[in-house]
Amino acid sequence: MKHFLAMALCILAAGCASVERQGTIQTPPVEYVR
Amino acid sequence: MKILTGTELQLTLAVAGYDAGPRNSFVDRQYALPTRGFLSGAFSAALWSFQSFFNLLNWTEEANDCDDFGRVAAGFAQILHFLTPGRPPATALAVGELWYVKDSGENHAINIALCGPTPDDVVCYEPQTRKVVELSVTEKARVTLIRF
Repeated sequence: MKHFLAMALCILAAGCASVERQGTIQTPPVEYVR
Repeated sequence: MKILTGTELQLTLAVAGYDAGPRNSFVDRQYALPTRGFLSGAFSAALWSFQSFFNLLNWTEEANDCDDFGRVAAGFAQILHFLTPGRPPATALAVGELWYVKDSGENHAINIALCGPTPDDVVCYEPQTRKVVELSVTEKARVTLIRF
């Protein structure tokens, strides 16, 4: 039973693991109407 | 810097033909206006970078469909406003979400912005293509939600 629970937790953790992302998000300043 | 109250923003949109009645939502007191050039230029490029970074470029049924594109684009515009040095204090940005029924009968969601003080300055924006778009008169008459 313990073994089964450990396996289930590992699978859950793998499924929820954050994805390593590549690239850059541009954040230009807003140009406002004057 | 041109600043409009929420009421002025709502009235300007209504005069331009955009009015969702009880599903209008203008929750902030004051709004700064982005330029049209910013929306079609730097904002569009930056939105692409954001959508690309999070793998959101492709339409996906329910999980990343038109209302999600619109919500993300409006939220991203708000982030850029918040990050802008010298941003007019205590203002939101006049970029919101617009839901309507297309002439084809299909429900759709895009963005709407006010890029000047007059009704002619209302800009509709398709976040899936990152282009300015025009709604027909009948589509304007079938707006179902506006949220700023």
